[in-house]
Amino acid sequence: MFFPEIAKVVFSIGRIKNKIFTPLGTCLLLKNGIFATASHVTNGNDENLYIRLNELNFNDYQDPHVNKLKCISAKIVQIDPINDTCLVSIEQNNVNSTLVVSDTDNLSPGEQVTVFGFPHSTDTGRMVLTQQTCEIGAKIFLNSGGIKSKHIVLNIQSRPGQSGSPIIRNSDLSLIGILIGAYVPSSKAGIRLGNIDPQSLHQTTHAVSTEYLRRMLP
Amino acid sequence: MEEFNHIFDIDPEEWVNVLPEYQKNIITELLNMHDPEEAASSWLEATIDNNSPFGGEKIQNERKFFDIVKKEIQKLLCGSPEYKTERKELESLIKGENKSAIISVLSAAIGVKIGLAAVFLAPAIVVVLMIISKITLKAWCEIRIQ
Repeated sequence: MFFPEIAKVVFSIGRIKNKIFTPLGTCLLLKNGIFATASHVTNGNDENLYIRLNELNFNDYQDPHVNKLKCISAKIVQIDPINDTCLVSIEQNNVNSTLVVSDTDNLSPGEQVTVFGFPHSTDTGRMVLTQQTCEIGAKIFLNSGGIKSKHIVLNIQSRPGQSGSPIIRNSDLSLIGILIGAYVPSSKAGIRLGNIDPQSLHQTTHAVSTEYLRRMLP
Repeated sequence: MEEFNHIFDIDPEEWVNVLPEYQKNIITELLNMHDPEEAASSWLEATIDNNSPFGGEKIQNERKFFDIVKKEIQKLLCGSPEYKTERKELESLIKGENKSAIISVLSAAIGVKIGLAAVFLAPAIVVVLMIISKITLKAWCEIRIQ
C-alpha cells in the first residue's frame, strides 16, 4: 500500500542537549497538536523533549544524515506506563491527522498491517522514515505490574528507534497499535554483540492495542 | 507541618478520585493486587514482561523512583527548607480544600526537582497521600525520619 502523506504525521521524538538532537523513538500526530508514542520512549520525563519535523517527501530519496533540523518542543500531557502509552503535545494546537484511533479487538491473525517508524535512529542515528508491511502473528496478553493488557505480535523484525511507531490496519487504514519492542525470553543475564542483544533479533515484535491510548485522549 | 494536618483528615480513597479516569482505574487495580508501596512502585517502575523496548534511553531494572518520590514528599510536607516556597503555595490551596490542586502542586514541585513529568508522578503521590491519610502526617513524618 502507498502512504505518500505519512511524513506529515509520523516523526522522530528525542531530546536536545547542547544543540544536538538525540532520537528516543517514533511518534504519531493525532489531533489538536497531540502526538502518541510509547511511555518508555519518554521515560516519564519531558525535559528537553522535542519532535523532529520531517523535511521530506516520502516518495523521494531520503538523506539519512541531514544535520539541519527543525524541532518543536513537546510536553507529556498523559501517560500510562503500565500499558506503555503516552501523549505529548506541542504549542501549536491546530495541527491534525485524519487517522481514526481504533483497537485490536476485531483483528484476526493473518491480517496485513503497516508500521511506520525510524529503525536504528536511536542506536546509530540513522534517520530514515521507513514503511514495513507485515502480518499479525497473534493476539496476546502481556503482563506489567500484575495487570495483563492486550497486545499483538507482528511478524516482522523491528529495531531500536521504532518504539512508538503507529501500526495501521491495511483494510480500513485505522490506527490499531503502538510498537513497544520485541519479545525476549526472561533471563537475568545476557550478552551484547556490537551493542546488540542477540535475543531481540527475531520476527516477534510487540505492539500494544490503541484501546489504552484512546482512553487517554481528551 | 501542623498546617497540613487537616487535609489528610479524609477517607484515604478520596485521593484516587483526583486522577484522570484511566489512571484512577489502573491505580485502583494495582492497589487491589499489591500493598500501596508496591502499587506505586509498579506504576513508576513499570516494565512489560518478556519485552525488549526499542526506545533510546536505557531502562534500568533496578530503578528506585518511588524511594526518591517518598524522600521528596517528606522534605516538602515534613518541613525541609528546600520546599519553603511550595509549602506556602500549598497553604493557600488548603483553605479551599481543593485536592486536585494539592496533587498538582506536589507533582509539579517534585517533578521539577527530580526531572519527571507531573502527570507521571501524580498517581504515586496519590498513593503516598492515601498512606498519610491512614496514619496522620505527624506519624508518617516520624516513621520516615527513623
